Amino acid sequence: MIAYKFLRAGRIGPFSAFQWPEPGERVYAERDLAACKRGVHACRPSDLPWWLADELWEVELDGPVQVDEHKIIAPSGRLRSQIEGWTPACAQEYAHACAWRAHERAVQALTRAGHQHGAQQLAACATLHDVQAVARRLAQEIPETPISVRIAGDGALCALTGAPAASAYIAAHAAKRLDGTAGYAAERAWQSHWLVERLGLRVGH
Amino acid sequence: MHKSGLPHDGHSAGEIDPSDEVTCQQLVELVTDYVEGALQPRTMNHVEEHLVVCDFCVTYVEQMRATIATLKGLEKHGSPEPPASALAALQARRAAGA
Repeated sequence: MIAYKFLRAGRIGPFSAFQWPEPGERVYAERDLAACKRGVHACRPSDLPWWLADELWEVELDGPVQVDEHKIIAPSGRLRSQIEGWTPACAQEYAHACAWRAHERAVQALTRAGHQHGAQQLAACATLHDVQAVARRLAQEIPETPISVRIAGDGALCALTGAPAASAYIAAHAAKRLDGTAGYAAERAWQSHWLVERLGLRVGH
Repeated sequence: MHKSGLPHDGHSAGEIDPSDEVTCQQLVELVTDYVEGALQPRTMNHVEEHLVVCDFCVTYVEQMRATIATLKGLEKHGSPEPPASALAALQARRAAGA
């Protein structure tokens, strides 16, 4: 099965600190699989937004694959090739896209709450610096400002400071504030779709 | 920015929700079990997801790991003996009924 795996720079597992061997060399779990503890952990495309890190690799998994929440686990696997498109610049682009999504949610939240003028001001922002500043000002001017506005400001800050995972997290929670759990799931799905399309990843293998 | 500014939602344990995520405060409560690998897989999953977005908690976990490693090193070397002068002073106080 072909899947994906985020690693820290130098092919290092973000949580295990395991250094993956060169592409092609197989890695085996020491014994029976246990989610988060033992086994080769990897992502389906839909899992990717939860696990962003420096490097993205295509991996080949062997043996019975366990499906877990936001991840899959296999008894063995090997790195195939690094996804060259996942660069710091791409991560930044993704963070900005997520921050603008959070911004859209904040505009919708203001509109729904009857703050048309505030919604127009936020909608008129041309840059994420503007989003950050306007969100901060609206939060001060309108005591009952929907929390989505503060969230949008946080999202802009995260995107501007190079924190794509946090920016995506914020966008998902901005959606949740507006449309509940279904909104959250839809936002994570949008993020996965963005990564799949932008990086040319395989789906359904 | 400190991630306490992020829109964490504290959900009750066992709630089925794809957006179920631990907060910084919850991570502090779970950190010992996390570094010992003693958490249930679902909780471990949520802790690790939180660590992806929260640099502050990553630092906290690293500090906890370093502390545990240091304490284990002390155990290996045994407790240091108090200096003879301190022992003598204690014995003198005890003899004097202090």
